[in-house]
Amino acid sequence: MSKFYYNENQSSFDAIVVGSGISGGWATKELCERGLKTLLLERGRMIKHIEDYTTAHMDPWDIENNGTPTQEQRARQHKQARTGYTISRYHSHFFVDDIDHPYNEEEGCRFDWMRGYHVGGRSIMWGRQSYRWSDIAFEANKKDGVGVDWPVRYKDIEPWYTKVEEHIGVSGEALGLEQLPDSKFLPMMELNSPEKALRAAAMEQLGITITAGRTAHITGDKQFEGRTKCQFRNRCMRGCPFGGYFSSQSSTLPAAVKTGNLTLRVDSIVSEVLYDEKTGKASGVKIIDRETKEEIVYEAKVVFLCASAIASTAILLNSKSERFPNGLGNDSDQLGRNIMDHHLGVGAGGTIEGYEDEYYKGRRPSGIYIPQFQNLPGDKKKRSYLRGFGYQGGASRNNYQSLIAEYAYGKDLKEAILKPGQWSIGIGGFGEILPNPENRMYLDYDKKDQWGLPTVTFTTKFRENEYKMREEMKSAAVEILEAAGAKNVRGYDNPSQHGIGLGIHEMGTARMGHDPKTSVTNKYNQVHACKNVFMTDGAFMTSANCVNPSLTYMAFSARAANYAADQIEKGLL
Amino acid sequence: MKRRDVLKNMGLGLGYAVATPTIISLLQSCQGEAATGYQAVIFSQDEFGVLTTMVDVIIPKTDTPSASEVNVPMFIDKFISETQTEDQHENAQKGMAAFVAVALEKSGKSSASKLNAEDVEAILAATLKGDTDALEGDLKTAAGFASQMRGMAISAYKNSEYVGENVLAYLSIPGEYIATGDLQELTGGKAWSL
Repeated sequence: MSKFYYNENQSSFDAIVVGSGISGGWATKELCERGLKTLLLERGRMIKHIEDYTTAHMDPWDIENNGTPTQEQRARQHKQARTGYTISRYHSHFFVDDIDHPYNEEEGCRFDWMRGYHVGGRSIMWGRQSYRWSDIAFEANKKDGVGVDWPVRYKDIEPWYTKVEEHIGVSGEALGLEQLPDSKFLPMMELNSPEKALRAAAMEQLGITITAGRTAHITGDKQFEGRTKCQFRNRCMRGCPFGGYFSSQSSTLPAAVKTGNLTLRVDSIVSEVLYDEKTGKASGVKIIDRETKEEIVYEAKVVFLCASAIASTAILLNSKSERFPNGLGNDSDQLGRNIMDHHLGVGAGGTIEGYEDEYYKGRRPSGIYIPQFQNLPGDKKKRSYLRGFGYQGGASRNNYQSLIAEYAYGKDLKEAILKPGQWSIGIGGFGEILPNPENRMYLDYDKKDQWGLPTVTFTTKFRENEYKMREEMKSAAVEILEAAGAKNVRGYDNPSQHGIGLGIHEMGTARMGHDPKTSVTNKYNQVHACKNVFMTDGAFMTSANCVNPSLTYMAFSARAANYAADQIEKGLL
Repeated sequence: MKRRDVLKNMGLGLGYAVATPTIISLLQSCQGEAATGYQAVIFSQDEFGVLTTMVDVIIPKTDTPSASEVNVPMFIDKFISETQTEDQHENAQKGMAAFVAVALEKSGKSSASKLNAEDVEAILAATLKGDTDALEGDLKTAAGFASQMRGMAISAYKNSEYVGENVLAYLSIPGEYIATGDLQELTGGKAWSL
């Protein structure tokens, strides 16, 4: 069977994009729309929109053990299992087999590398929460003297956020907050009564804003080509047959295909970027076919690395030449360092009395959002940590624990479990992790995978700032819920979730900066020392902020792709 | 599909192969006909009978099916055997043994196969009602087991096809989101199944 889709292999390409997820899809779309013949390389298998979402319509009784993984599956996905939800049988086929795809953690360190190898990457399973960055975040490193300064400010990226949002559709509520700029919103997903009460109490008593999660789902009447609006099934991670949320399959790949400029090759594991000592540029990439293990070279004018932060960085570290003995673009020794994520698994939950006659219809694939309220300009409270956190959560009626206590068994219990339970409410924090050069990855050439490629070893862990922040993430969550009169409020900080990577927002391994001596990429996502290599997945992130990062990856990918196209047109690349 | 039709079809395709978990699951999804002759994996056949009695005391037949009528006991045995660790298997077996021991002691009967609903209910009353923290020995172990089985029975019952589609309010594709509505108008007072 051919490994090529949309076009047969071409004699030459203008651009190569490595990885077909959120960033790669956007880079591909933009490059193709600018008229560049683009080869998209995906290491995994094909996933066709709609027809390959094999579990999309399954009810709990349609799947073995209601979707609970077997012990055999747990053994094969022992690292993916660390989130607790990724290996549910409804979507476990979108996460890697850890035996086939091993990585290493130094003693005392932990890194949770949650990923999927298939067309669309994590754009299929992503959380869809979409938030713009603000200048408060872009300026944070400079202000605090942590890491290096971002070479980009909000005004540089603002038009690209707008462009991306108009294409993908982001539902949400405009608030005019300085720390969380508004997007071009589709109608928000409304809050239910207990959430509205929480919102009012938090603002009144604590001055804290609560809004609807901003999420990349189609709501309202605006039309999106080839997509239908969200049907409120909340089965997003299985792939949406309606195209209700943004994925590469539903949104960017069809746009790229339409140009006629896209060639996709699956089963293509990029082992290195090839550097041409004469031109001082990359000439292309070498791939290993996943199935045949054949090595093939593809050449192009520009290479976009969008394989996810860790994988893109591993490719560069493995791209050795006379000019770059420590990995392509690694003059600064920053390649593979400063791994960040968002730390979570800390928050509070409780029950809500009343509203017993109220219920909802539809399974909202989002919730409430509490934007960062700490360490902002004008924050008078003294904080024991730098930066801040936001919360995501919601209220729902499925808590029948109290009824179980009351009715041990029998008819009364049966009646109770068939009714909506008491309202419960919960919020969980998403905290910023500071860039730290000691949180790093490197390649282990003694432990190779089945394709003969070195495996990645991590030396990452939470540091003092994260632990201090977590104390307040817990206490403030309790305070917010209690302000709204929630009962049985319990704060939690789950030690099993003290792992970098668990937020599945890994980033920072090829940070952007002004100075090639201290950073890997420049403000246009170009590798400083090899200008026709662009990194537009999480690798370029100079700091992490506390908001979900995908929208920002999309905006930077689109901007970098258009910059590359401009440079090619000018004959500069 | 009726269970016998499934069996017939299986016969055509598989030559009456030994029932694998997948086929068992297929059978389980058949509505209204309890699977008979299920070979328990975690529990002995007598214990499986006790489990069946137990889940039907917890979720009895009313105008809607009992737990065993939607094959909850089989689901539980299979669920434990396929998704839980060896240690958890052992815990479930020890829990069941303790439960049976206290039931036999209290009823004065000689074997698990003779325990009826009244005998089982007496132990459920002692282990699930009131202050159970003070329990000791086998009764304490039985209480932990009863509570675990109750939780699993509720989950298995609500996630069975018949209950999910016919007893609870079933709506596969809502198509819209209403954040706040009237419970009676939306579902007639029932919980959504999904």
